[in-house]
Amino acid sequence: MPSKSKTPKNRLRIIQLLIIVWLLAICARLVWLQVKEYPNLSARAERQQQASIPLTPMRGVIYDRNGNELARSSEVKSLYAYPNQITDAQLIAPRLAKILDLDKDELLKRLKASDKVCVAIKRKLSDQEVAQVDALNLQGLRYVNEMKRQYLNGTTAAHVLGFVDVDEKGLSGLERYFDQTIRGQEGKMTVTFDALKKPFDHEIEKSVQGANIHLTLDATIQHYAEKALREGIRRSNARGGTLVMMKPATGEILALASYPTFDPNDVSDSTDLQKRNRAIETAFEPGSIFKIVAYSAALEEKLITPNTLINCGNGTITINGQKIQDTHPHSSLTATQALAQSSNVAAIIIGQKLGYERLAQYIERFGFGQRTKIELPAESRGILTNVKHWTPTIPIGYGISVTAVQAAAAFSCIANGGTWVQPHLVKQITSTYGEIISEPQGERHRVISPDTAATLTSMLEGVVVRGTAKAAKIEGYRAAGKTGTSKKANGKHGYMAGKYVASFAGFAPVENPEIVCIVSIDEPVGAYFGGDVAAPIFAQAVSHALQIMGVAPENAVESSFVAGGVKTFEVPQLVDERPLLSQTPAANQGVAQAAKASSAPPTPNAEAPANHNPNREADDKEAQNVHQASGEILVPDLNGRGIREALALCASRGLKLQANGEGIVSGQSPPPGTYVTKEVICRVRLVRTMQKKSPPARDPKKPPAAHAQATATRAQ
Amino acid sequence: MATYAGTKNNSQRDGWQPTLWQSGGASKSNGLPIDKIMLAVVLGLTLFGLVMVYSASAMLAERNFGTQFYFLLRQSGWAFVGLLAMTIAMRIDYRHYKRSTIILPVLYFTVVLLVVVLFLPKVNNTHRWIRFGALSLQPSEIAKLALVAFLALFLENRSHEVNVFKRVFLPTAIIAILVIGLIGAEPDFGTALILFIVFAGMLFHAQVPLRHLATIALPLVPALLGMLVFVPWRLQRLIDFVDPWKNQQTSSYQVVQSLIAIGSGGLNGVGFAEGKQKLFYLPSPHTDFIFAVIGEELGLIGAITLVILFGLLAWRGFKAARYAPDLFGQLVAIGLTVMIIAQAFFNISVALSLLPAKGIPLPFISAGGSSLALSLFASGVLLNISKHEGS
Repeated sequence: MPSKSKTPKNRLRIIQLLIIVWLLAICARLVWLQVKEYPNLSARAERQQQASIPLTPMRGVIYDRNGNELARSSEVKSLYAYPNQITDAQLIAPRLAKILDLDKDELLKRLKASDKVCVAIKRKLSDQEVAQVDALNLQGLRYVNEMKRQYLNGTTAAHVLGFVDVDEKGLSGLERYFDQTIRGQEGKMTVTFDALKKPFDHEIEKSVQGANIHLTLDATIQHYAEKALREGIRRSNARGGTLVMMKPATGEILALASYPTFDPNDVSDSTDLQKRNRAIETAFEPGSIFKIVAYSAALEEKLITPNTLINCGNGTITINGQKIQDTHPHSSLTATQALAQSSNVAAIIIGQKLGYERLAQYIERFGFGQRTKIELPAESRGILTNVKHWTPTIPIGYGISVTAVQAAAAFSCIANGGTWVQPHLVKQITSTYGEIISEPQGERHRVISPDTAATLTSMLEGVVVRGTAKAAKIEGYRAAGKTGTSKKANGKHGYMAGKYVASFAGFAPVENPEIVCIVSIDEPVGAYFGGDVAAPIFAQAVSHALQIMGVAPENAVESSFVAGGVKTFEVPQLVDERPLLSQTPAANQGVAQAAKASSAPPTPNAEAPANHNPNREADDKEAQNVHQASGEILVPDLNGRGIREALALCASRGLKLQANGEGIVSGQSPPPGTYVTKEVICRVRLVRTMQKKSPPARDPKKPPAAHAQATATRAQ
Repeated sequence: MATYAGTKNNSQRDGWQPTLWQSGGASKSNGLPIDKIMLAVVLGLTLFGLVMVYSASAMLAERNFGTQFYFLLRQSGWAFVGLLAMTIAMRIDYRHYKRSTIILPVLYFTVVLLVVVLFLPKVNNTHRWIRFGALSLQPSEIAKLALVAFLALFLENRSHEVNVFKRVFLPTAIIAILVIGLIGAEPDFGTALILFIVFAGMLFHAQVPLRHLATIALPLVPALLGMLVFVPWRLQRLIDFVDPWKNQQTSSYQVVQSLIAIGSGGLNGVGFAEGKQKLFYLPSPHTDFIFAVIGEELGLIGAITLVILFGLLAWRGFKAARYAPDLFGQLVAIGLTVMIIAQAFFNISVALSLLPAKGIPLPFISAGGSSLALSLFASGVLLNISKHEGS
């Protein structure tokens, strides 16, 4: 036994060794396959076993400030097919193609693509298409629910909301800016197939709904703002335009409109021009509205007061070899008058007094040359060159480009007492469950002192009351603002003849401004002054907005005007930019008296047609010339008279009178001293003496003395 | 320790008394406690097999037989029969079989069955099965046992003249080639190959001179080469083995699907019953390619565990062989261990594309009654040998 058992054990060892080698080879191979090759092989496995269909998450809702839905997504069905389960592709392809409006051959090819487990037939079917497909009762088809974005108000706020592509990805506007936030999390359906390509199992990874956005925008205000803008642009046959309305105290955007516009529900036919959001993407040379920067700076730096007399050099000034002219020459004006008449020379002189460095500081503090960081993509920062490269025309708004939103923010500084507030569109972002995710407050910084802001406000009110922007007057409220008319640059070094940007920026009510609004119209045809083209749009839009916001009219009579359904009382105003000298109420009595002597009609403005009542466009066009040429009637001063007295006075001159309210006349339209045609109805507001609220000096329709001299212009 | 000494004495005697149905391992004169590790490994493998058969076959069973438990129930039945056989074999002293009056009739009977099966109608395109109603029997399974028993008996009887070519090598080789040839004719090259390995292993252990063993290789090499060259699909298999990805949709589809299954399991596997490759991607996921399902569902950890279980079985089997009191016991233990381990590793190597594709079931694991029952019976015999201490 010992001899037998000893050697076999050695041979047994060899057998054992062979087994161990084999075992190790197996283990090594396992490690190789399951560790090293794992990514590769598991990918292969997935490829042959699974097909996954993405599940678009429900996109968050966009609400306006009152909780109205502006954009929401809803489920629609998309049609898919499993080619391996379709037996009679030849037969069904033409029928499906007909229902779904697809190419027959292309569809057939897809239905026969047996190497694919699942093919898309058509995405986002209409209910009608679904019904028709169902009626065919076919095998191998499958619906997958997808989301479709709906913009419930059609074109309203299209540029703010933006639009999405077929995969619900935001491509412009808020949809793009907040895409990550409101998109939600994509889910997917993974279908597992067996080797015979039969679906065996499916697994759904649910999508997560995106966050909701609550805007500061008011859909109703937006609607009327867009209407006003659209109508105004059509009146002027302009290329386009934009309107921005914001709350000066907070920077909340109430309306932001751009024209031409598009329907975000279907952008397939929209041009880039339609889709461009002019309020933030288009920078334009602001022209005279930019003068507020120089004026605020000079007031803040105590270089001028509203009554400082400025020598306007008879309408011409040469600076660095560049000759700058006023539309109408003046020898000398107070600062208030110069702003009201939009004197370029005066603004240049003020700019010189400030010096470029200081002016540049104010420009920056007013937010020009920087993005406002409004929650929209593709915002322009405008064009603001380094001080070293400045042209002397910067103080009058040439050589710098701004966006409408920048300008609105700058005017908000004046309206709210001197603080720059960041324009913003979003009030809060909430999750699906209603928790507040974020509540942006917006940046703010002081630009000018409250005193300066107040002074400038009253100067700007003068622009509306007595200056270039009478068309910006709003029934029942006091408004302030500034017109601007700039030639369009040709992209090289010159300006294009006959192409203008007409703007008006202002706010109302003057006492406690609720709304700042800028209107900018691109290439108006015919009348092109900001006061003619943009100011009426401002008046219309802001008037609606104030009513919608329930802002109390500044006196009871105005309120009754509105209540009586008389919404506009536009007067054939004298034209924007016209050197219509008016007076600062108290201090400049002397000048005013002197000017009173002559009361020549404002003939030189024939080329700048007035644009009054938007409802009577056709008449107005004719009236443009008739106005000065034929029998005008001098409107009497009816202020302080009783109704009978006023009636008698008007009747004697052949004017019709329309009165509202009770008591004595406290405000009339057209203002006294104006020449009007017979067709014009003279409207007056009557108040009981006790109800007079506003201090006389601040009342735009007062004092009578100022009105009496309103037309006493071109004496100088 | 008295029992230990007694065992030694007993084992050296010829007139020993086999103890049937003994309950406590060490209590009787001839027994050590049975090898608990081996028993645990065998039971573990069987249980593991049942579970994996269920996972791998549920879909197939559902589709073909209307119940997902079809193969599980069948396999459980066979496991019961096999465990019964194992329990009996465990308690029958292996030396009872050491008689020509038992072993030779079994061998003759096996040869007859192997001949008969060739004339029976084909099942799955081969003559491997003899059907009795719902049951089916593979004569090749019985042949494995018969050949091992015959070789052990013959080699022990002639151990003193092992160097004489005519006395030992030639007769064993003739019998072996007859049995292996009949199995190869079914055709079942896998089993034939395993039996050849068993034959070589046993003769090697029995001290048959290496030059004798080498003689068999002389006719074998040209025969194998001829088979490769003249039967095109075999050559194709070899090409596919070298580069399985080349013809992954056609000839090497099976191996590629197996590799995808195992590879996609990664470290931890896709989870029990979560495997996708058994959804008709893998051919015979519950039988020949069950290891691929294991690799996919249980990952590297599960696959290595299984391989290690077979390694443990080999260790315990060879240990039993080493300590067996007589050459017959040693040779039976080696024959059975090599048979089980070679089958297992061969099956696994095919699934891993380490060896060309051959249809060999994975012992204890693959669905298939006769294979499981035979493996369990063989384990019973091994366990019984382990109770004896020879040196």
